[in-house]
This record gives sequence, C-alpha cells and structure tokens, in this order.
Amino acid sequence: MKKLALFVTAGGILLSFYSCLKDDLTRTYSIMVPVYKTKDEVYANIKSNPSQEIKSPGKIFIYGKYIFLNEIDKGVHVIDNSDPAHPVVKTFIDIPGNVDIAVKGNTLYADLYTDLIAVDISNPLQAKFLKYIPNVFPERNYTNGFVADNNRVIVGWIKKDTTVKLRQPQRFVAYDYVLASAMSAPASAGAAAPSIPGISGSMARFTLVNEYLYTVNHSSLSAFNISNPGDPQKISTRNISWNIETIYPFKDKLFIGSTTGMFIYDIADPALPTQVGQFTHARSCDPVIADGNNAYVTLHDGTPCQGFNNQLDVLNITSLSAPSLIKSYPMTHPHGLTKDNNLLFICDGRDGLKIYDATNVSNLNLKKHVTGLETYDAIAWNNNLVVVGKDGLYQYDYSNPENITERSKLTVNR
Amino acid sequence: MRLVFITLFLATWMSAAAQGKIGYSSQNYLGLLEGEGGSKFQLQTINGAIYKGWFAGVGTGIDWYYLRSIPVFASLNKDFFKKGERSFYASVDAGINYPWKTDEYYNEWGYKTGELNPGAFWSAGLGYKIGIGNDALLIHLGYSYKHLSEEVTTISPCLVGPCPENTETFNYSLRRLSFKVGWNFR
Repeated sequence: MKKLALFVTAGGILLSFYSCLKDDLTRTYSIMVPVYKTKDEVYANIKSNPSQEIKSPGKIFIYGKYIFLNEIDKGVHVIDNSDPAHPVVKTFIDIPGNVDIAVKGNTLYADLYTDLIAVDISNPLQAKFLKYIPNVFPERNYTNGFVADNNRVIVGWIKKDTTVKLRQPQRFVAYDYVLASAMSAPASAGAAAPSIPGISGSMARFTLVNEYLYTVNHSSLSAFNISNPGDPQKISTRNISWNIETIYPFKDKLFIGSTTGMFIYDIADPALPTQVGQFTHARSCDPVIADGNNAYVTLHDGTPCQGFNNQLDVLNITSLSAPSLIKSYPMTHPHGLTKDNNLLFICDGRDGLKIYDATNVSNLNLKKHVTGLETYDAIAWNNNLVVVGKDGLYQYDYSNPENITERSKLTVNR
Repeated sequence: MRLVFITLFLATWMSAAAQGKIGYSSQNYLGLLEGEGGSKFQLQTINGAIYKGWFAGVGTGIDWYYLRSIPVFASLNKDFFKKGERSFYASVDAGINYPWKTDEYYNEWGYKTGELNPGAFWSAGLGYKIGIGNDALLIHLGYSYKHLSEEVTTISPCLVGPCPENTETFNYSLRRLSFKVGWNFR
C-alpha cells in the first residue's frame, strides 16, 4: 500500500507539471522590404553591366549567336552561344521588374513593370537605353503588395527572416504575401528577322512580326509599330478576353493562349489584329504553338488558372474559324513547348523534358524522356534545343533524333 | 573494432543466457498522449533483454499526437520495490521520430508543397508491473517529447511560370503526458 501511495504521489507530481506541457510551435518566414531607386537612376543603369550569376531564370529569346535570358524581375543575361557546348554569360542588362523580352534588329524590347522599354543592342556588350512607353502593362502596377510609385522603381528586396510563435498546432497559417519576387511571369517573344533568326519561347507575352511588336497583358492585345526600332509607337489596343497568358506568331496569324481557350488573330492588317477563330477548353494554363495544320496547347493546373487538367491538346487548325480537337495526351504538369520539323518538345514541369515524334499527331511517339530537371520553356532551332529549367539553362543536340544528347548546362545559383 | 565489440557483446549475452541470467522480454503498449494538441492514441512495442531487474531494448510504434509519426528508440528500464510478482519500474527512452508522411501536396491558392523532416524523441516515466503467470500487466505514466519540422513551399500565383516561390519553416516541439497500459511477454 505504501508503495502504491508512492506511485500515486509520483503520478501526482507528473500531473502537476501539466500546465507546463506547452507545445512549442514556431513558423519562420521571410519578409521582403522593397529597395527603391528613382526612375532616372534606373534608366541610367539600363546598360551592359558586369555579368551576374543566374539565380531565377525566366523567359528566353534566341537572336543569332546570342541567348537573351530573363532574370525574373531583375533584367536580362546576355549569353554568347557561339559554341552551344560552352555558352558564356557575357553581360547583364539591369531592368527591374522585367519578365518579357523580344529582339528585333539592334533593339531589345522589354517590360519594366508597367512600362515598355527599348534598348539599343547593336553591340550587345554595350547596350544603351533608348526609350520607354508608360503604362503598357497596367496589371503590373503592384508587386508583392507594394504599389509602384510614379517616380520610383523597386529595384530589389531586402530579405528579413522572422520567427513567430504559433498559439496552437496549426500547420498552415494564412500566407503573408511577402514573396521573394514579383507576382508575375517570365516571358519572351519574337519573330523572324530575315537574316538573323529571332525566336521566342512559347511562354512569351511579347512577339514580333515584321514591323510590329505585339504584346498581351491580362486582358488586351496591343500593337506597336517598330519600323523605327528605337522609337516604338503604340498603334492599337483591343480587349480580347480575360486571363490572357501567351502569344505565338505563325505566318500571318497570332495564337493567343488564355486560361479558358486559344484565340486566333489575323494580322493581314498588322495594325489591327482581327479575331478569326477560337477554341475553348477547360479552365487551365495553356501556352500554345502552331505549325501549318496543327496547334499544340499544353494545359496545366495550379496557380490562378484553377484548372485540374494536365495534358497536351493537339488541334486541327486547317479551318482557322473552327479549330477542332484531334487528341489529348495526358501530361504531368506541362508548361512551354517548341517544335522543329517533326520533333515536338514538351517542358513537363517536375517531370522533365519529353520529346515526341509528331509525324502522326494522332499518335505521338515518345522518343526520349529526360528526367531529373524541372522545365519551364524551350526553343528548338537549328538542331539545338535550349531549355530553361529551375536549376539551369540546358542545351541539347537533337541532330540525331535517335540520340539526343546534352550539350551544356549553365547552372542556376539560387 | 566495432566487430570486436559486437562479438564480445554477443558472446557475453550468449554466456549469460546459457546460465539463465538473461531473458527475452517484449513490452507492448496502448495508451494516450495528452497535451495542448488534445488526447491522441499511441502504440508501442519494445523488445529486448532483461537482466537482474534491468531491461534494455529497442522500440517503435505509432504516435498520433498532432502529426502522426513513428518513433524509433532505445529503451532502458529498472525495476525497484519488487515484491513477489509486483514491482515498480522506471523507464527512459530516446531516439528519433519519423513523420508518417514525408511530403504532401496542397492545391490551395496557387499550390503548396510540404516536406516533413524527422526530429528527436524521448520519454521518461514510472510504471507498475503486475506479474500474471509468465507475463505481466504494465501500467505506465510519463512524459514524452517529440520534435518534427516542416518546410512549406508556396508557389504564388502568376499566369505564366516559373512563378515566385516562398519557403516557410515550421518547427513543432511537442510535450505530452503519456499514459499507457501494456502486456509484457517474457
């Protein structure tokens, strides 16, 4: 009995510590504080500065021997790709808030938050700021909850780690919306100049066709006359739909991807694009490319697209006014895509890179599946495939479709 | 060197076992964990050797408190106040706590991914043992601590990726009272 009393006493002592049985729950997160510069300071710094490490690669644009690689919200890496096996990052053009790029002749067009700017790159290693056109992308007026100032530009962020105690077990508290970079997307754009090819990725929101630059924002399509490349003139803007994502040129047509479908615009009158066709699909994110008879649309879920589809849709566009679905192919989380002859390259997000023989679009044949990398966008040209991955810029030799090999990788240093 | 120690240990064990001094023992518990996170079940099995009132073994189980996890630990017990088939015993356990699931995918606003990481586990307490035939009923009250951490990556909304990512780290240090009842196979 005495011993039982001891046991009960010991238990009682333990129970007396009950009030000390506090769970210690902490959440460590980062607060981003904006760093501002005046617009004059920013414009003065839009030039070829010393090369920087690639940390957050965005959209790509290939122009001649150069690859222009967007560093999300920071600017543009100029990469000498004379030897795809040994690309060299030559210089960095500082453009705060930049996510989209396009090159025509000696001029680089880029967004700087809400503005469109033109940069002289007649010598890409001695780039010079030419002009800005304000408020072309009004939806980018805010970043990370901070509203852009009329006279100042956010050029960077100071990261402060903060640890807070949670009152009770709670795994996911409301997200503070203080993010490491802007709520926007990378982009590129392009069209073919007669002699030096300029090629955009499929995620582009800029594209160039002959003497016109076309841009899409959240809900509209704008046309700029760039016959004088250093002095782009806004010619027209028309509302087309909501949640516009990408723009892709093919011959005298523009293929525009939105979260709810694909729109086809005729640019026979380049100043006034006219809608000629539309294909509606389930709500999803969807970059689009096209060739003679077919359009290829990748749909992926997540982000604000709110969809649940992850697939490749192949469309028949022989009748532009009535595109029709040929076949859907299941994918994991596809993003950008590119095509050269019969080879179709799909960036399937976390599932890597998939390369198909698209000779028969009703029965795509998977030639190669490269895993171990997270891919966003790609450009295939002249037997060289450039792929933007989360951890680097990859290049592949596909001259022999039976033996596609990696040529090089520029590593991302996050 | 490690092989020598293991060999010596096994030789000693076998020698002692041959003399009837060391026996196999298996403690199997079902219990409750009580803390700020409420009352949750726990299951444990601890298997090892008994020798002159000492028990040493290794254990594992399932811990449902807050985040379901699997503790893997070493256990040491000492009997005292032994009278007939009844005795008290003190216990100490220490090891690592592994999350039941190591990753999760959340499709919320944008999407989130979570990666759970293992952490420390330890417990201590007092028990009462009532011998029944060759076996024994165990009643145990103690204190139990487990730690887990989680990295949650949120990909913020953007129309065209790659979208900005933000990673938060959650640390869970969980302190509980442990009450468990078990059966000791000997």
